[in-house]
Amino acid sequence: MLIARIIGVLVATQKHPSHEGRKALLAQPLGLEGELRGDPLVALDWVDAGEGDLVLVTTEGWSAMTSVERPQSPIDMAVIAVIDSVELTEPAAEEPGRGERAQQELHQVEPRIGVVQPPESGGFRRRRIARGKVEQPPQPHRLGRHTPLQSGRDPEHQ
Amino acid sequence: MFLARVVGRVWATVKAPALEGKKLLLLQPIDPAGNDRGKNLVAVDAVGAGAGEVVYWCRGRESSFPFLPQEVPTDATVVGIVDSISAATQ
Repeated sequence: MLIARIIGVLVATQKHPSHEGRKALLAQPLGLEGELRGDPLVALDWVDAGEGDLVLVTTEGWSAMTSVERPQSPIDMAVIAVIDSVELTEPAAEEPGRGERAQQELHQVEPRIGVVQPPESGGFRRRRIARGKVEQPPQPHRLGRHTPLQSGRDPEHQ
Repeated sequence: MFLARVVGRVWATVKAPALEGKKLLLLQPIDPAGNDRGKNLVAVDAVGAGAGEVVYWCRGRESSFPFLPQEVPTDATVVGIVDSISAATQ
């Protein structure tokens, strides 16, 4: 699933009958710093999302078509949740300035008709950890680093 | 689904029997502003789209579902013709 922001609503008179009665939303996928991630996509709506909403988009066919109650139909993406907040416990990958440039680009993404609202914030909320007062969260295991086995079945000791 | 513009048609005489009578469209993916994005692709038409029209297309196994019960060997199908993109909030 992808985090995306709704940037428009498609108007289509001629479409597959299974799409009738469901809004077709134009959604711009976002990265963890709120930067653009790939091209905008079209997803059917299940949560009555609107322009500017931060949403969750499933990009797998079975999930999409069953969530909008249209089984066996040509639907491969659906908006299945409106995101209230995203909390990062680690900083996203560092690349200074990338987020700002992407925000500027997002302003330039305009549908042929209508106006794009600027995003509300420049990225997602991050949990604040006071220095010296709170223990560092456990570091995730990295691939390639040796980690002792819990079960005592380490092949080196056999 | 993704946005695209119909930039041509593909004709094939010898093809899988299930593709008989299906219109093959040449698509150019675009962004909402109408700029070309990415590479061309061939898609089967399910809605009667024609040259120059802005459409949205579906990919994957789902793209063969408009033609059920016939099993059409396609991985991309045009499923809607875009009249306009509005910013109306609902």
